[in-house]
Amino acid sequence: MLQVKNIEKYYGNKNQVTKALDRVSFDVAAGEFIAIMGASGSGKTTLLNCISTIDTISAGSILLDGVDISGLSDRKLAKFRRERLGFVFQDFNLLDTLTIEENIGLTLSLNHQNPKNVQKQVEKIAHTLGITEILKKFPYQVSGGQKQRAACARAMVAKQSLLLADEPTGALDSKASKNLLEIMTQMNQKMKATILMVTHDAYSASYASRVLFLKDGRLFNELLKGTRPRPTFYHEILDVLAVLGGDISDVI
Amino acid sequence: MTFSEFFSDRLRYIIFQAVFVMISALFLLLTGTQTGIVLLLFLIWLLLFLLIQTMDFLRCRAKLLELASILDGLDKKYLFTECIPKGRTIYERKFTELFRQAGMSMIGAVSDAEAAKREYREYVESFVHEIKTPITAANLICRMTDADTRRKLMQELSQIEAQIERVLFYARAEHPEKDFLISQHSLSELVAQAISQHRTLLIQSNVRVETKDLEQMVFTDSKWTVFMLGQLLQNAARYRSTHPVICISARQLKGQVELTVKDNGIGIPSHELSRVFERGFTGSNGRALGGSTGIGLYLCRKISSLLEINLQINSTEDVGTSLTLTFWTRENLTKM
Amino acid sequence: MTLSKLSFRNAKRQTGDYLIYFTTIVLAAALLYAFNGLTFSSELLTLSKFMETLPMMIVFASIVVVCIFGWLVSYATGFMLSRRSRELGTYLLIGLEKKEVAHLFFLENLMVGGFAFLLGLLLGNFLYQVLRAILLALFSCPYHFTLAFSLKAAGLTFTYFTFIYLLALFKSRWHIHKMKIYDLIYFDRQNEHVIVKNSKSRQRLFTFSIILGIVGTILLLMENALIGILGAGCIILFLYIFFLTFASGVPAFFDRQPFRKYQKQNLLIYRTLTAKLGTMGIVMATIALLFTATLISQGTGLIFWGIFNARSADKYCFDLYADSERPEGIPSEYLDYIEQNISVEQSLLYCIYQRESNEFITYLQKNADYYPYNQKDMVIRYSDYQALRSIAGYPNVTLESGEYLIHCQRYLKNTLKNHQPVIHFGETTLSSAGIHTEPFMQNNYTTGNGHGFLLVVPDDAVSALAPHHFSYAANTTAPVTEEQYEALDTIRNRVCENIDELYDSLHTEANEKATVASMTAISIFPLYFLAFALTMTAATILTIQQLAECRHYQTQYKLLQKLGMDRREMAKTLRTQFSIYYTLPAVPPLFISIPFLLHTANATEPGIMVGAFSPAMIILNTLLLFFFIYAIYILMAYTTLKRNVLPENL
Repeated sequence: MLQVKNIEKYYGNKNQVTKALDRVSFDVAAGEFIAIMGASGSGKTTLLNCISTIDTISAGSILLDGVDISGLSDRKLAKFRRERLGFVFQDFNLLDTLTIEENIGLTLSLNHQNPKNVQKQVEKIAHTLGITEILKKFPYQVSGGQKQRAACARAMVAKQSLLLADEPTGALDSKASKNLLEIMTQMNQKMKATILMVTHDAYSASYASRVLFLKDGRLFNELLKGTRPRPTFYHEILDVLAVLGGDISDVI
Repeated sequence: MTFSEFFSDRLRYIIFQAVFVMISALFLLLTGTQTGIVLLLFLIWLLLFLLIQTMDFLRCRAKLLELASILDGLDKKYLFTECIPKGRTIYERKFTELFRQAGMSMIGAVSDAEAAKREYREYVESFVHEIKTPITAANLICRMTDADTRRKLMQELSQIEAQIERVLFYARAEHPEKDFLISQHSLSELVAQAISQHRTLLIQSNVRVETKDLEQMVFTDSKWTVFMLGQLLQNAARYRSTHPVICISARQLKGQVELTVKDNGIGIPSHELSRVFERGFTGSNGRALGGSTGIGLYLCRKISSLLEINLQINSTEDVGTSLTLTFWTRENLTKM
Repeated sequence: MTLSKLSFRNAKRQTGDYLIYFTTIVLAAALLYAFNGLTFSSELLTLSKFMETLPMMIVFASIVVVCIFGWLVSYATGFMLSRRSRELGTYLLIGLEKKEVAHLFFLENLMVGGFAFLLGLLLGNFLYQVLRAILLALFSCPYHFTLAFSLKAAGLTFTYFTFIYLLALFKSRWHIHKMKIYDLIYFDRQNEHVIVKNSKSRQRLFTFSIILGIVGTILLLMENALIGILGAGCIILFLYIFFLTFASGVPAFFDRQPFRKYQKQNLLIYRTLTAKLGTMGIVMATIALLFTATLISQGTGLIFWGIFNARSADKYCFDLYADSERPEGIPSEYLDYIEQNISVEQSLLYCIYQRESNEFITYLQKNADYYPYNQKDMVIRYSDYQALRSIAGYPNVTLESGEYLIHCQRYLKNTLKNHQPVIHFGETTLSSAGIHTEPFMQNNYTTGNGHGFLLVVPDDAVSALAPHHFSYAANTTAPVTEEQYEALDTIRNRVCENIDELYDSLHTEANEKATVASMTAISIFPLYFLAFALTMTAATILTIQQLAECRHYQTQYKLLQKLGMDRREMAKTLRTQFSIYYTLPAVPPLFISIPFLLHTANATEPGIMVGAFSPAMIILNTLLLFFFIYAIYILMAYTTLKRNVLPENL
């Protein structure tokens, strides 16, 4: 459902030009759980931004659900985003003036859904993700893990096809991270959510069924979990990272 | 650009104008000018103002539409800066001049890249052409040696020939349309050609080849298809098990013929199966065995999609691998 | 040396960031210079002897204005200071002493203030010319363009300006003195979480405040002054409680009807608004109060102007007029003086008679807004009437025998149209031949040409009637000068010294006009000066608050962009947010000031507030002017915010 074909991205700032992505190509099938790993500066956040239509690519094409998004107008892109994409960021990005329930319901409101049904739908997905108790609270009143779960709920409440996560466990402690990753696995398996996760953490990446490695803007390796258990996969990922020269492992 | 977009762009300017006019009108009224006169002035200003803004808007919109349509009509969109009009005002001209220079460097870069590629291909083609001579010579020299040496040398020479053929096809694979010749062929004939080309390799590897139901006619390019089949045979021979058997069979479907090349080799691990068609992918087997370039299946995939042949792969580790090619039996080839 | 360079750069940045605030300060200097320039202009002050009181009024107004602007500057500098906490913290961290930081800040404000002052002087010169032109037009004098610069006015403005900045500087000095490094650097973090107090009692207070407001407005409209003051107090209370509990009251509403939250962009608007109001409730209430004061002062100014204009218009018909209720008639002293000193073109000595019945008076009392100063209907002879019309410059009217005419004030025409009976004078019967309504000295209480109306009958019909009072009307070759009027007035004082009630009246057109112009100038100019200052201050404060939220809005809209909000919807949300934010402090003032102004306008005698000065028009003009200035600020703030806040990539 996602096809990335030879995309390039240049960043220009007066006289400085950086090539953030260099002919990256890959496909994602529906229901896959993919992780993109790379050090900071490897271009993974740029890649995510380009896929999520927030940023435009300098060359190549991206097809989401068969639609080439590089040619769409801003209005259509916005529509696309709110109907098909869900986001989970590292620093939560919940609006701090809204309650948790309202943050989740915001997506539905943006999609001009019937206001009467919004609360019900929010409660339903909150129940699935186990955050019903905090619905009436404000973001600053709940823990990091709960905030991330709320963000996941927001990303899925409108039955979006693709969930994009940018370092979701970046600001969580290990227990909350594990919790979140298990929830994401649950979302992937039970709710058939397609998840694209960007991370620098091998542990998080091991939850995915497929890991793409980015270095200096290029895809230099890919690992498939297949039928192997997660710990084995985790070790294989570490091996790849070791090959990279240890600069990623330092970040961990 | 809609009128409201144009308006919101100019909002500050319009506000300033409107405010100034209102204040002036008020001032005139307060200092004794007759209401009628002030009203008249105001209406005249309003009329002129609206007129000028509307004209500006229409002109801006026409310009944007024109540029959009130029871009739409271009196939090589980077030639845009050469095709747009220079602009009437000095501001526009300076603007387009900067873009023209940027576009110029882009056009140069593209054309340099294409030229380099063309030169490279031509070099490869001439290389292939040249290398045929020494290989033929080597073949002839082989005849004069003893049987054992001859056999070993011919094996190696056939490897060299296979690689060179692959190089040529790779170089040509970007623009194969120039090389296509679609006609009706018999599958058994094509398979026989492929087997014969790689006879040495198959014998060396102790591979038994079985064929079944190959009396079908298909529409395709014989040279490229034979090349593909050859690649499949090479792979089956390379990644073989102890008693290697390759089974080539065909069956008829509606309007199509499905050809299956099945072996009982070492198979491909499940987590690598979807990646075998990637350029340069050698996988764990390729590493274990050595000598793999990772190009063969990539070329097959490329060629099969150009020939509109459906290429599928299936494999189980330690059991075997099977590839299916689905050909058209009728003139259903649209993209050609 | 480096410190002043740093100050300079900071000053430049402050001007850029808070451009709207800077513009207001420039305008403040311009206003102060322009209005105070009037007090030093001998040309303008000698236009009429009433104008002598203008300087005093302007100075009063200036003092109030200085206080208001002083509040603005102190609020703004305090606000900006707290926003720059991290920067100040860094200064302290790298080793600057508090004294030096205070000095830095002082220099910076000096530069900004100085620059604003100079620009303001430049602008003020032009503004002064505008005021001068308006004033001269009021007195019907010609205007010649000059660009005179008044050093005295500049000096006075400078003094005022210093006072304005004084409070601000003291406050900030104290603030800097109390700063602690830790608090400064982590200032942002402290402000992150706005705790919205959401108790039940606050919600109840919210509803209570609304009731209070309605009660207050009703009380304000009562005739009684004491109750009116009570009403005003209620309203002030209402404003403060309303805005302070707004942040609790509104969420309660949405909690009860959650689906309303999710309609369109209500969610974002409502939450952002309550968050903002949670921190600036008091300021909002004060601003609402300022707006109320503005509207009332503006409206009152217009009402005064209307009253002055209308009252005197009635008396413009004759260049010179005098009357007396004494049985002897017009005192000869007047006539002697006039004959010796004033060149008269046409004059008439005549008598107004009263008839036996008060038929018309009763009718008018019942059917119109009419106060009967006299007991009997007033009558005039047709020949006198004709002569008066000619003196006043009106076209001739004919009267056949057996007919009578009514001459009345314009507002009574419609009522009298329905009442034109046949009247009897002895044996003569007269039927109505029409109504005329030109200004005719009919608003002079008991005398004049009848109060409100006058019956014009054929000369012989008055033979049986008793005279009510005697009048003298004339038109002169040149307008009666101020000295001549003074002289006549002195004579009048002498003549009427011993007689208490029957005080003669004396009017000249020239004097009336001069009085009106002066009174207008004296009342309107200070009032509008005040009104401008109030509006500008309030609007600037609202705008500073709004623009300071830039960063917060930016992150909010970036997130919304990622979630897939349309740019158009974003602009719409911003617009709605803006409208509500700016409407909130403007609505209660409307509800308070409109009834008040209507009430005041209707309190004057009838027939005054008509036409361009009818209550409806006055209110319309007040509102228009107020919203005009308000709208400029809003639009400027909107375009600035829109440009900075909406994500670029779209």
